[in-house]
Amino acid sequence: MPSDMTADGPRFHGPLSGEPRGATPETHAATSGGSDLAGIVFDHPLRLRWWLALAGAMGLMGVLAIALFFVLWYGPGMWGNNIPVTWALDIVGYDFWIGTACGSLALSAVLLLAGLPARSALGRLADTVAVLSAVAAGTYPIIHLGRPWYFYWNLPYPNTFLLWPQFRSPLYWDAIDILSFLGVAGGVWFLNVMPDFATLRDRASDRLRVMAARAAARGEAPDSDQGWKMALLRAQLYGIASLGWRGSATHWRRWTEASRILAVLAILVVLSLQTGAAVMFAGSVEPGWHDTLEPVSFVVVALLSGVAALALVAMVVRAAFGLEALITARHLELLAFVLLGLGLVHIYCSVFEALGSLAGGDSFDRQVLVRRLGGSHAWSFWSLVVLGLVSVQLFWIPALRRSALAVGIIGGLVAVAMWSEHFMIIVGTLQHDFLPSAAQEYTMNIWGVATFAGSLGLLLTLLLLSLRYLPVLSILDVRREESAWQAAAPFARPDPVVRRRDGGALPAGAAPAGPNHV
Amino acid sequence: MSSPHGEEEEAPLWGVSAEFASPAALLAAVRAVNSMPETRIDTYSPVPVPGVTELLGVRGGSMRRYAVSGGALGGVLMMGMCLYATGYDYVFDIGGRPRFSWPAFVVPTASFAVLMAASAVVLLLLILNRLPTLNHPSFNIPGFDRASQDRFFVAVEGRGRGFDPAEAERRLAGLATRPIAVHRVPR
Repeated sequence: MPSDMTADGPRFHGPLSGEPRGATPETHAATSGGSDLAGIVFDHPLRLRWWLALAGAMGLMGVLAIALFFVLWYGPGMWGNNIPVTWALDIVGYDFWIGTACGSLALSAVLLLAGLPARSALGRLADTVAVLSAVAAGTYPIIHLGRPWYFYWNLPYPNTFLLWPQFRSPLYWDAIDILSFLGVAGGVWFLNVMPDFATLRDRASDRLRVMAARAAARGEAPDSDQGWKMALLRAQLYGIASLGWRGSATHWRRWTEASRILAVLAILVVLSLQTGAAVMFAGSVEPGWHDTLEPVSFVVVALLSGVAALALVAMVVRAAFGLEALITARHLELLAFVLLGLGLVHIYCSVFEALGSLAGGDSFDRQVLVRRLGGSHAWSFWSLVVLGLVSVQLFWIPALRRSALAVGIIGGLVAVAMWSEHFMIIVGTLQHDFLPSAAQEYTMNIWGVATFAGSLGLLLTLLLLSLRYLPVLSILDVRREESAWQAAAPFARPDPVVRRRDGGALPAGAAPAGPNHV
Repeated sequence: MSSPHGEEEEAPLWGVSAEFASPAALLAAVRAVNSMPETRIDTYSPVPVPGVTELLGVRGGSMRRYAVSGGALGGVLMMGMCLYATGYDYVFDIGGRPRFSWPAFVVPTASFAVLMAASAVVLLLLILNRLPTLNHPSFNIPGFDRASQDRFFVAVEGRGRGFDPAEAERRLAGLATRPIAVHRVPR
């Protein structure tokens, strides 16, 4: 009988391996991938670096608070917006963040539906990036209304004026789109994290038991242990968040079905929101916003920025937490190929939109194209080309597809390029549409930049908190992948290798017991 | 194999549980106890175990129906409200443009339909699973916190006077892969 087989079928190495009863939480943390992830939550391996990063992110959030105070005090003119450039960095930032959220959510949903093993490494991060980008986007739409305290005038509610909102206005469409996106993205995220909350709840109570046992050995009451109250609070909070999940077979069946349905709905809401945004632009008379490829192009830009942001975040998390065994070369290649493919589709869309403008016979449309290539904001077009469309071509080189550094850096560049694209489309058209007398130059000022940097700070703060208090990757997905391997091909599976912080590798069975071990 | 604590014998019995280290052993256990009269069988596991719901005879396929109904309801409500407001309640005749301008409402209708479909799925998932719940007898199973980590539990719940816990214990203990533990679980 091969060594992997027992009378019971394949032997389970990973989180499903049967240690002798009575193993302490620490020992099974060391031998199992899924539990390692929970271990990160409790043992906080990056104490100092995490605090430094959090301090930086919260500093940026302070910048947001200051910027928003002045914007609310003096009005959105602080951003340097003028007539006709009534919306500039506020809409650019908003479109960028919501595009990132859409792209990330769509990737997570596709991975789930395709049942790719990559889901285990990237799904949770993608869900998190999606929800947090949507939160970052949320700083804008109410603030940029000018009189934000009247934001609810945009929604249909019973009012003493006996008025409806203007249902034919893109403003109303946008409000409904955003609410829908937040609802669906939040639902996807929570549904997928709920079983992990149950794992964390049980791990937290394990730790309480260990603490109580140690206190009893010293002959003291359990709550004499330093940190008992905090540990108890965490166990209670995780317990509340898990909603009492117990992993019943009936529950799992409905949960599996629900998470697949939500993945389909997530793809639908992404398509609806992004094509809807293109229709909102086309709803105006402005030149440069009417190409019939625009809805496709919007979807591609959103996917590119979402996948790029995810690539960047995933590579940073991989390096910071030493997750090389879970986010592998396979995942890097997947991200690289998706970026490359989307980059090619983007080139197709850009070329045909340009050809459409040149051959279309609308001189205003043509002028917009010329100003994009050589006008005062030509930098936005050229950074789109160089940072976005040219940089992803590096992924034709196989070595770069497998390099975490390359995937992370190019991901970051592509995200910047997508921000530039939004700037080019919005400001390029608005500052010069039809009449020369109505043209007015727009320049970015410190307050617009500060608001965007602040929204990034908000995202980073929430991301750091979620990396600290939630599993960085889905414990459930990692376990499912491991159990699927075992069930499908118990003999073909390579020895699980766990990577140590010092760079050495050792087989999982020989992993030393230690809470910080990944 | 019964509970080591004497006082549990006097508490009303919820059922008999067995703990395993692998999904294959769990499936074998479900097969062994499935035919017992006046019982309800459920399993508790850290990952969904393929094949277990078929063995237990759990009917499925219902969530999709709720998603479709929720979506249809959302779409009809949003399109209906927009058409009612602009076509009946507060009509703007601008240059004789059409009164029922439904294409203008497709974007919010599509998004709202998806939102309602997703809400229906999440809400009904919680309602059908009776979640959130403060407690459940399964949490009385000793060592149950590993059901969310690396152990697979089967619980044979008694559903009447005909339930014979000793028979359940005998069947579970007699499996080819012996369970790690078998317990009588109080309600």
